[in-house]
This record gives sequence, structure tokens and C-alpha cells, in this order.
Amino acid sequence: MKNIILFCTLSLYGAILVQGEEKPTVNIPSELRQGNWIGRQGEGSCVHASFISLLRWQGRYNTANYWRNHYGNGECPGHFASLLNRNNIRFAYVTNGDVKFLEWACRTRRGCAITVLRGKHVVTLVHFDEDDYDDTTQEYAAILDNNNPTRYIWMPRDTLISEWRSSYGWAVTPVYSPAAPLPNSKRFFHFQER
Amino acid sequence: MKSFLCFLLMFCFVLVSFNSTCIADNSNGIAVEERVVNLPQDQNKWYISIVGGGLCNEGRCDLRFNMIMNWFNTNPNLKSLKNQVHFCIITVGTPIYKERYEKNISGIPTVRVQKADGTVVYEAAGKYIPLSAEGLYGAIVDASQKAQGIFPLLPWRRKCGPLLPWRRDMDRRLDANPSPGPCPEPEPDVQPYPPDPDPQPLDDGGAPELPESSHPRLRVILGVLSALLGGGIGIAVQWKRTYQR
Repeated sequence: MKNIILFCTLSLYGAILVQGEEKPTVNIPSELRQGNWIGRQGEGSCVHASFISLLRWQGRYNTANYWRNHYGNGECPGHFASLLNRNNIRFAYVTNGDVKFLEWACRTRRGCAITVLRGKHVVTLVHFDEDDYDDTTQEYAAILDNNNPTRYIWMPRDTLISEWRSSYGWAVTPVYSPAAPLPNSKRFFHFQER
Repeated sequence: MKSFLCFLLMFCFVLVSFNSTCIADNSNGIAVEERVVNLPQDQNKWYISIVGGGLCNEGRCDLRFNMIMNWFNTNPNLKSLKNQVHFCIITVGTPIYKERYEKNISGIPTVRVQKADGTVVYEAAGKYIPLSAEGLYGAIVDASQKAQGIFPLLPWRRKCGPLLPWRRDMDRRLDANPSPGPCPEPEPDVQPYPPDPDPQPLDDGGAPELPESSHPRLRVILGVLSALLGGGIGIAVQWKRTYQR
């Protein structure tokens, strides 16, 4: 009985400790998630949809709405970059499958759009655990698929890396200020008198 | 001679091509075709959220919100602070407000300063927001000092006392009429979002650089203490010289 109580106490304590971190890191409100749509040329617009969700997460609502109304269809890295440059949008991208880019994007809470399914589809990377080089703990990644943006899809980090690298390793993100994290009530330092 | 010149030319060519390869490989950034992009390592940057706006809230206009926004564009200290943090303008009624702010703020408008991990360093809402830009900056500086473990030396200064009588009266008046001024009719065709703000400067910044102390009280206390100590030592030395011979 004592052991059970001890176990429950430790579990509760662990749960309280873990509660502080928001997961996924890029927790885009459901109303801001852009679903995929068919463009004027009859192609899916997954690159645009993922990028629009990220623009909204980074507070660029009008740019996102403009993008939704003016662009669509399939994209390749070069053409998409030229569109972004033409519209004076601050962005960063890689086409070489460099994992550091994904780590940076999620560490700075910006997220990024990444290729999957051998380059046929693009989704939004919303969580990417940093590699702590410890084989005993499993690191995870999460994506938001614009074909069903109602839920996050979680998978082991290595699975996502393999998928991404076998899909030409293209990742792109706007570079603005991400939404602020949820208040961490466990570590409030100062709260103004109410 | 010709072969020597040819060898030299070839050597130079190899050197140049080798050097260019090295630059591409060793660059501190991500190689994107021919471009190199230095990504901002700003994961430790603080966040400032200004929550408010919308047109009218229950018949009252959020004039305070506009005023606070204006402070961050005109007051040099707040403007500098704004450029060192992720500055988020949150409009009431938007999805980001509903999901991330509505449940955890106590009033409109709200000014919230957070560390990168979400720790709230300073938060004030409604009438508790200081009445001037300087006051707000001072409050943020004080709060950030407390967040970094810098407390006033004197214990009785650590807690705020009860409201002073003239402040109570002012609070009562604010309660009675929290948002003076007429409320314009909402326009029929209203954009749900204000124009996208100018992008924040990109840098690798962490916590904002704030002055060590916005109030001279610590310096004054230290100054008085050292003056007393110096005076005491001087008197003691002089007393010894005078009376112990």
C-alpha cells in the first residue's frame, strides 16, 4: 500500500513537472491552420497551406490572407523562393536535408514546412525534440498535415528525418516573431497586484 | 619558363577554387544553393504581448490599448525594448486570443512580459497598467530585476503597502468610468486584424538589456552606508590620534 501511494505521489509530481512545457512547440490554434485546397491549375496547394499556417502563427495575418487569395498549386523550392522574394517576405529554407535547420526552426518556436512522401506532399513541422545523444530516451517529432489539420501526428524523430531526407529534404519557414508561449504558472516570478 | 608560368597559373586556379569550396563548407549557416543564410539564434528572446484592441468591448472603446501601443512606438526606452524582444500584438476576438490568452488574462488591455520558457516576468491589466510610458518601462525593469533575483535591500520595501488615500480615490474614479471618451460606432466592413506590424530586427539576442536599476534607491542606500562607514572610520582614527597619545 505504501508503495502504491509513493508511486502515485511520484507520478503526480512528474506530471506537474512535465506540465510546464507546451507540446507541440508550435501549437497553432485550430482556426489558424490552413487546410489544403485545389489551385486554379487543378493542383494541390500543400506548400502554400503549410506556409500560410506558419505566417499566421508568426503574426502575419494579412500577409497570410493575401497569400491564400493570390497563390496556389504545386511548388518547387526555386519558384517558391522567388515568390517570397517578390512579396518581400522574410524567410529561410534548405534543400539539402540538413537536420540543423529543423532543430533551429522548432527551437526558435517558428516551425517549418517540410517535404514528405518522396516530395509529393508538404506538411508543417510543429515539434522536433533536440537530439540529446542518449539512446535510452526516445525523441519525437510532430507534424500538422494540411489535408487533415485537425490533429497533430506524432512520430519518432528518426522516422521523420528519414522521411524528410528521402523527400528531397526541402524545408522552408517565414522568419518573424512567433506567438508567445503559454504562461508558465509554475514559475511566476512577479505578478502585478490585481 | 612557359611551363613554370603555366604551373603557376594552374596553382592559382586550384587555390582559388579550393578557397571558394572552403568558404561554402565552413560558413556558419545553412548553405542554400549559392546563398548562405545566417539563421537568428533567438530562442532565448523574451516576449512582450499587448492584448486588447478590437473595436468596442461592451460599449467601451479600448483607448488604453491604442495608447499603450503608441508608447512602444514613441517612448525611446520602450521602443528599444520592443526591438530586443518578440513583440506580439494580440487583438481581442481573434483565434490566437481565444486559445492562448482569454483564459489566462485578468482584463483588457494586458501587458505581459515573458521569458522564452513562458515564465511571466511582468503582467498588468486594465487600471493596473501604469499611467505613463515611463511608468510602464520602470515597472518592467523592476519586475525583470526581481525575476533575476535582485531585491531591494530593505525588507519593508519588498512588499507594497496599502494604497495611499489619493490613489484610492483615483481607483474609485477609474472603476466608475474606466474608459472615458465617446465610443464611435463600429464600421460595417472591418478588417479582423490590424495591419501586419513591421518585422522585428533579426539578431541572436536573449534577454533584453535593461538598466541595472531604474530607481536610484539602491545607489542612494549604498552611498549613505559608505558615507556613514567612512565618517565612522575617520572619527575613530581621529579620536585615537587625539586621545590615545
